[in-house]
Amino acid sequence: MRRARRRSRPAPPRAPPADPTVQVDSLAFAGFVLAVAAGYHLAPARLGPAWLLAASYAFCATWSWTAAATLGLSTLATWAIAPRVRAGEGVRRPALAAGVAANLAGLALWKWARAWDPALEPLAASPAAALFVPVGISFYALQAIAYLLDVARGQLPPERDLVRFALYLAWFPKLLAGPIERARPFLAQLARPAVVDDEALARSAALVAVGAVRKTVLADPLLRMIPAAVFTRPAAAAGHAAWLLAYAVALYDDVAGYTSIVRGASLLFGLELSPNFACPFFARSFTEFWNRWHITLSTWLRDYVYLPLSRALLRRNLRRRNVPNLLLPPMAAMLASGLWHGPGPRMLVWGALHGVFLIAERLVLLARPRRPAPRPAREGALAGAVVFVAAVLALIPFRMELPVAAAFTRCLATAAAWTAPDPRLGLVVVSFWLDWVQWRRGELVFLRWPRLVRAGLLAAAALATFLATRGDAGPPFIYQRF
Amino acid sequence: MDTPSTIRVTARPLRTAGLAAVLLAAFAGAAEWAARTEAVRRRLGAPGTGSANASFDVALDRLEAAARRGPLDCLVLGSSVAYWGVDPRRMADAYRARTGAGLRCVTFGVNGLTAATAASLAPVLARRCRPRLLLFVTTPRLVPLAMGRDATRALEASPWLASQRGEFTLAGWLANRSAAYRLYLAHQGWMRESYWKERTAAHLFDTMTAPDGHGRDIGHPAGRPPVGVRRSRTCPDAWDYPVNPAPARGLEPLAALAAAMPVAIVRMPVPLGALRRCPARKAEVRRAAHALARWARGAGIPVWAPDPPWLGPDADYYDFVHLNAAGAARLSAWLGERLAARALGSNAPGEAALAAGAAASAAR
Repeated sequence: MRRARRRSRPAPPRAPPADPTVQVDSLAFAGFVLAVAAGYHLAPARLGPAWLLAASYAFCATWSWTAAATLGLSTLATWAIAPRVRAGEGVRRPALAAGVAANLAGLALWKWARAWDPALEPLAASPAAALFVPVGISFYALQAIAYLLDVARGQLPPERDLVRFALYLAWFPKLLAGPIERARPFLAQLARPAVVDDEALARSAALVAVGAVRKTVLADPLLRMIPAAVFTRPAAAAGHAAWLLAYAVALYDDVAGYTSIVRGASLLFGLELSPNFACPFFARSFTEFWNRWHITLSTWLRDYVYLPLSRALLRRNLRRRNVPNLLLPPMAAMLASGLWHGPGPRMLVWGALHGVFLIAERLVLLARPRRPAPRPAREGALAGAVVFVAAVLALIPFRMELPVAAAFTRCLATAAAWTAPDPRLGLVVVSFWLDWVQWRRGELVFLRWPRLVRAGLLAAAALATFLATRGDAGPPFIYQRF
Repeated sequence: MDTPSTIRVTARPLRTAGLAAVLLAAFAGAAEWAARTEAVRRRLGAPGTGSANASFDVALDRLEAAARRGPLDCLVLGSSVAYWGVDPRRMADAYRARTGAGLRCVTFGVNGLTAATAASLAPVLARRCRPRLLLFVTTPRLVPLAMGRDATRALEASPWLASQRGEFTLAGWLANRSAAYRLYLAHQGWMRESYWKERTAAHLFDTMTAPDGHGRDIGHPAGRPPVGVRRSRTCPDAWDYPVNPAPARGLEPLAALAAAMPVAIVRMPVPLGALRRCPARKAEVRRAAHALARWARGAGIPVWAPDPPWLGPDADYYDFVHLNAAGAARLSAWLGERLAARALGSNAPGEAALAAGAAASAAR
């Protein structure tokens, strides 16, 4: 009887399992950073890097312990291969090829294979496969490849200290979404004692505050307010132009915010990470745009795709009007960028569009005299507007599948696409103001302002971040998906 | 000990942080002062609870405002059936006509509220506004599953409610103490795609809810319950009235509350028009009513079940569920008279307390 009664009682609803992953814009991450920093600054000197490495792997394991294992395997393989790429001719090339191929294989397997072969989709989507999804592979694979190529070129000695090398790949603030650091400056910083002074602390606070505002106050709300239909059923929506602009600004603030936060966090350890974004929407040429947008990826593509290809083509023909050299390096670099961002034709189209923009710009430059007179300001502003509009329009295939992108583009030609924007898009203006100030006066101009203004801005940032994060949880960082 | 780093930090950066904290406190103080002024309240609408249910927020606003004005004789708790069907003003008129005393009641009716969720709210609201009697309004009709689930989920997400139930979170703590934060909660979905729609709905609720919590028909089509159903003549089309197979499920908090204060259940009348078209459902409705009565007897809670020929089968209803203004006036008058009659001569649990309430009101 008792058993029957127990059976008949409905089971209490089971709460969903708590998400153990630590997002960079969360209080959990802030607590983790402070705890690791305290441990680091109190630890004996010889244990410092090991402590940071342990913390980085612990952070990675909050996402998936197998991701940490994959990262470890990749680290060991790259570290072991590096001395061999400096060995004799017979060993060097195969070792380099093996090292690069091993890192590329991870990327290919997890990012591209299932997109190209739909038969792999069920396999990749299985719970077992989910355990093995390597967190941050898009970023650390490029770092590992850059390291091997730098060592092979003799620009860098192979790192003997496995802990330091492993920390270069696994450093937790940059693990999920970059920046894509180069080995030489990063390892050099690890080799000398870290200094954290008033200036570093102030810069750290400013970077974290700016990053938090960009992510939680600008990017997340903008991404959330965009009606779903705009990018899925464009014909059923209105205001396409304004929403596309909102998406462009949100994407930028999302990734720039991430970089700013992790750079600020790293400064607490005396580590200076590379800036990744520098007001790209104020660029006056496509080349400048790519020197300001995802800088560490752009320089990676420049150094390991563009320049080697260009050098090879110039070796054959040194003339200024070398057509293959005008066309191939920018297109190859941009297609590689598209492939890196994701599988499928839409990213290739996005990359190809930027390739075309760069080629067109080079053709225009070619038609000018070698040493042109400085541009008048009005011409520069017009060029900037062209670059901005083209870069925003190129995001159409970046955001949508190609058939939807085509429909969206057709909608842009209708009056409905240009209806009055939602007043909440005032956030776009705030984002542009922030960029404008940083572009004109420097990234951390705020630190030079009077203390009362600085304190007011800090208070406003803290309040806005607090209020913006009270509602539904914000979407995760976009570049964590790449 | 040799450490891997050198820390050369003085108190200088902390001064900026300290100044920021002072500014933040000053801003919070100013915002709190402003949020408590009527002008800001009028401009920004009813304060929120973080529940994503405008009807709950408005109902709570009316209840808190009424409780601030003085002690409540009764709290009428239920779903939209209570919101549209129980008019405290009419109750008070009828009560005064019989006893000569005033009656201060507030209706707390929330769209889509299931009986179980309403019962779980009862102790929270009773603690908050300390009424002399709780009238728990329920109906044999089952709240549509999706609607009930949505309303329950929305309430469960409310930091205000979580805090009232004893869970500590910063948001809940703030929601219980700060008028500014409550106002912010009403607008915290400002970045959602659906924000403007939500604001329009909230504004509509704010406008059509009387100070005593009763729903007023302000002539806005979106503000009325659906009216088309009753025009239907045949049973399968007309019967938008699934009967709750377990009407007492989840009412345990009500039983616990009844041990501490007077509680009565008001079983709302089944629209005669609906029963006339679907006579086969009469047995089902009767079974549900018996089940509820049996449970209430066990819990020591009186059930008031108007079975009124004085309600027009169709003319007094918006649809098969909600009474319109005419129907609400009749039912509320019945409730007021019932309260008065019992207050003047009955010793039943709820009524005895009301008798004391009536005496107190008369003395006031």
